[in-house]
Amino acid sequence: MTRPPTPSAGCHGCAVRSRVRPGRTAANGAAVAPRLLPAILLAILILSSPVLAADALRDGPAAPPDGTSRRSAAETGVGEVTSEGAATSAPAFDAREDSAAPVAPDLFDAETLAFLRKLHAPPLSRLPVQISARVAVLDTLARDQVSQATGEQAPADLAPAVAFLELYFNAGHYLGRPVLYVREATARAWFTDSLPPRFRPAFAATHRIPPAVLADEEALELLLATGRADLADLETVRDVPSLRSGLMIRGMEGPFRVPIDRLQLRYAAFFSADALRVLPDPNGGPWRTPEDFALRPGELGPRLSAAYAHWRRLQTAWRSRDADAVNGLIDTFPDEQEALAGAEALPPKLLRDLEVLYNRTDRATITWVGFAVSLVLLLFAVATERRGVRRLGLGVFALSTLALGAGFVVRWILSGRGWHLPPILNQFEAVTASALLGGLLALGLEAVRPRGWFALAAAFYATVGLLSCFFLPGRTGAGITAIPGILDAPIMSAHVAVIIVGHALVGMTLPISLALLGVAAVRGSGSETLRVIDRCNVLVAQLATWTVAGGTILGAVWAHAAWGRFWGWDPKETWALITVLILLATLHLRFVVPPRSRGTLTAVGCLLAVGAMLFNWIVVNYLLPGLHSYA
Amino acid sequence: METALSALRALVRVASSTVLGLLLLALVVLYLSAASVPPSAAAMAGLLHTAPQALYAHGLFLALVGLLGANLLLATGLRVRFDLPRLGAHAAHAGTLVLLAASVWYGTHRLAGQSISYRTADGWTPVRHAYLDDTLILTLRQGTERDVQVPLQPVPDDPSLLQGDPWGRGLLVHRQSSAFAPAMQLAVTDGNDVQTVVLSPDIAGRESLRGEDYVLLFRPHLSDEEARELFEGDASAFSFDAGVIVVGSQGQAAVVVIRPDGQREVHALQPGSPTEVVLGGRAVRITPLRFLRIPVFTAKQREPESRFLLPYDEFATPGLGALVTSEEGPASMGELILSRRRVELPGELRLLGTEYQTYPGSGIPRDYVTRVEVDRGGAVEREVIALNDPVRLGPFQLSHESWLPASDPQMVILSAATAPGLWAVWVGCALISLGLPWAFFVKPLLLRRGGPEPERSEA
Repeated sequence: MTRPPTPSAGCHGCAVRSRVRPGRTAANGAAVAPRLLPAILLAILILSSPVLAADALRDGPAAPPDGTSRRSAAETGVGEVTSEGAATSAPAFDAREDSAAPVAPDLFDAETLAFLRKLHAPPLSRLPVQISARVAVLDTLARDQVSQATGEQAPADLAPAVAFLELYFNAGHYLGRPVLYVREATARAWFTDSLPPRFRPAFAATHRIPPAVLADEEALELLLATGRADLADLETVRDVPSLRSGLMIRGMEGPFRVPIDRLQLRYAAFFSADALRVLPDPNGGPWRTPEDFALRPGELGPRLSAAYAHWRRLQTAWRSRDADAVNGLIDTFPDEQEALAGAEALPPKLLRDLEVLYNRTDRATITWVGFAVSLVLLLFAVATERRGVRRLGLGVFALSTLALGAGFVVRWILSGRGWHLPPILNQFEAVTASALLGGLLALGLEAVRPRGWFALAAAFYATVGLLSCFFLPGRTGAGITAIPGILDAPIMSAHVAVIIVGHALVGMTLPISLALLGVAAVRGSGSETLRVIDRCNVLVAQLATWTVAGGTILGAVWAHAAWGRFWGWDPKETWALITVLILLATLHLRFVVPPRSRGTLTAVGCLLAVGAMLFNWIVVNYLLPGLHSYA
Repeated sequence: METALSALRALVRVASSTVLGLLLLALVVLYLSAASVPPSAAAMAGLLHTAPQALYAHGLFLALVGLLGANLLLATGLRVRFDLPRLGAHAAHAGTLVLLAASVWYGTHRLAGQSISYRTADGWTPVRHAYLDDTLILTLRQGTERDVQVPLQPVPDDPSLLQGDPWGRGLLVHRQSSAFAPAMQLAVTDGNDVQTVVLSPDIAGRESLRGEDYVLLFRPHLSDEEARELFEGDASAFSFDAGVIVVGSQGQAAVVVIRPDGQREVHALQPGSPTEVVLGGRAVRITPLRFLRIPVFTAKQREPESRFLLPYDEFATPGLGALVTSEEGPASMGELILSRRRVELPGELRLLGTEYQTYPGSGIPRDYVTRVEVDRGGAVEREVIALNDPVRLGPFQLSHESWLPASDPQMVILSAATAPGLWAVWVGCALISLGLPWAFFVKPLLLRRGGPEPERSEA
């Protein structure tokens, strides 16, 4: 039993007949409608950044740095002193108890800055250190540690390595300075009430607290033992009360868990007790930290001791502000490392310079600027149908893709992983690689159907994704780390590669669908522009369906080998399936609706698929437990 | 007759319609969305005592998927012309149907559980059995008579249910399984010192928390005699204050403070709320956070015969209780064991050694390699189990689940699972993977090359 065929219902969705309203032509429809697009797309661009949105979900609004935060604390009960005593609430300080002069908000004073600016930053930046399982450069460690502790990568416009070593070598001096950044509104309100009065103006200006209020005796003893602090340093913070107990009690409450977890990370980043693995083990073991020597003197053998003595001379010179001695000792320290580890264990200088350069480009995420420029140009091009502008936009887009690709290759080389493990295996890598693969695919599609829409959509997707990684490198996992062994399989790489291409394509349907709905709203459903946009949308949706389905199947193949079952109803798997089903329903819907509604309904379906994908990236990755969770 | 035929035609027309298919697809999507998020969030908050995955085996979901499959079958057979351009649609639809049928077969016939080997003085215990995940049985052993196996539902995670008769079978539960140590996690505030501790009478080093002039103990499930001793016995053995946290047969959780002079004070404890007691002359706040049952295995322990095994994280499966009970009947004595069903593997696996691999120059784990000897009933072969690299033993695939402890394992837990009908799953996936690009990209080319033809509304 076969249903009789009906006219003008092309299976692939390209046979929608052009219908032009009386009094207007298809051409002028094309010219008018897309003028609204730039504003709509830029608004969406800002609002739909997935990781930024996840961040907003967790943090809530930031507290104002003025007295209003005290009011909000009272309203929420945070920091309120109750009859239960200080153990469950923020201790209140009377201004009369703290008569010391207010602490300046600046992290580094003028004298310190003058010294730091005399230092040679390049050799410091490319100093080899061990991070995770690879030998990287100090610049990489410094960026992560300094931004973790202070909330910014390069305080006072210093090279991160210089700022890091200043905080490291002179840690005692900074115990009473505003160093540790407090990001969350709840914690800010609590500290506004809890900090001794002399720290409050600096906290209001910088939202940073002095490490002394969190320091425990063990940490202070370690600073003394390693020579990073002296008794005079500790004397300056002797009267600073510890807020650790109050914070730990608060940590049992839901809203305070995330802020306290983060503060612990910031505190650990400031002390860097186990981070600075700068002394290679001559026997091929994990590199050592200076703290290892301080705690176990004599245990590590004469060769390592010589290198440690070099490091201590550097520290002494740094603390005594002898810039010439510091520069000389830094220049010769890599020789000590090479003597210990052997030349082959250290990355060549070219590679270290490449890593510093890669870091300077914010791990290639700075290319979002190029994608954003190409997005604006391409929007202008599709709105005005100017070929020159479109070519220019495509050129900028291609260059940005090329630059992002170069960053991808550099990261692959730096990671030291095998050919079968491209850098696509954590959130940062997946988002940046997805932007790259989307860009390459769009260039291919533009070569076949040069409309500008594919590149425009990919530029939009890349801008949003790269912006997320640019502003939240820590949250997305920008560091190059050793991958868990379970992910070390070619089929896993294939699964991720295909699925992130699928995500790029789903993301590309967002601007195209919005454009289509915008044009349909202004021009009605029959314009030639609408037909062109619809064709592009259907093609991208079809590719997205195929790749997301294919990627999910490859994931099932891997899961069978790794876990002994091909499907487990993990939230990530389930939402990948939901995305595929929505896309399939969207494409099948075209068979049963009138031709004039096909474009708009396809666009709505694609928007739902984008919603499912974003849900998978934000809610499932960060807020739900599961095998793919970052929660 | 004519009327019945036309009614049947109408029914088939409706059942094979794309609109119905889309409606069912929408319902499936809605069900999946609802089943994936709220239960996961509830399980995370400890509110749901059922594995979220159970919702995907619910009759409603299966009915929806069944109807969708039937619609797809009818629609493909009746409404999609069988020609070269539409080969892709046929392949993708057939693949979907094969995948659905194979998945149902796989889900209903799959055996999955764990196999365990312990390191003893004589080497590793041989692996001959798998303990299945999805079965919880009650075995009544009476001498040499055959075991009576009764399937059970998971037991709610409520210590008060350890008294009385949780299953309505006239049984009295006397003690918890020796495979589990009862424990309590609590926060203790003493002045500015705040700590979160886990106390358990059965775990070395966790028996007590010692303060400056006091000691804090956790004593769950005391017998009547022990309770009498606690409340009324001689306290002269204590030269300092002792706080004894009791729970279970004593009713509500409480801390009993015993002074050296024999004085007793009882303070009720509320989960999550601090209770202040005076210990050693200091105000100490005790906040119970949660009760735990911690699996305990010793190096010498052999593979239990029919003991309940819960080798995975206790937190991940709230609600699964572990009880070993004994009952004195009028004429016989039996042992009642709550256990997982044990199936025999078609062969034997003997562990030869383990290798914990790290990334060079660091302590970061890279792989867990277990060298094994596999006896499949014929020649004995030496193989390796590593991450992403399982071994096969008949229909079972054995892969790593965990090592305890990780760096120098005394116990290796392997996940053991069969995969019935997996080949059909892959056939379905292959048909979908090939059918989709054909339908999307090859079909338009073929139609264009073949010249204009009357368009059909379907596929």
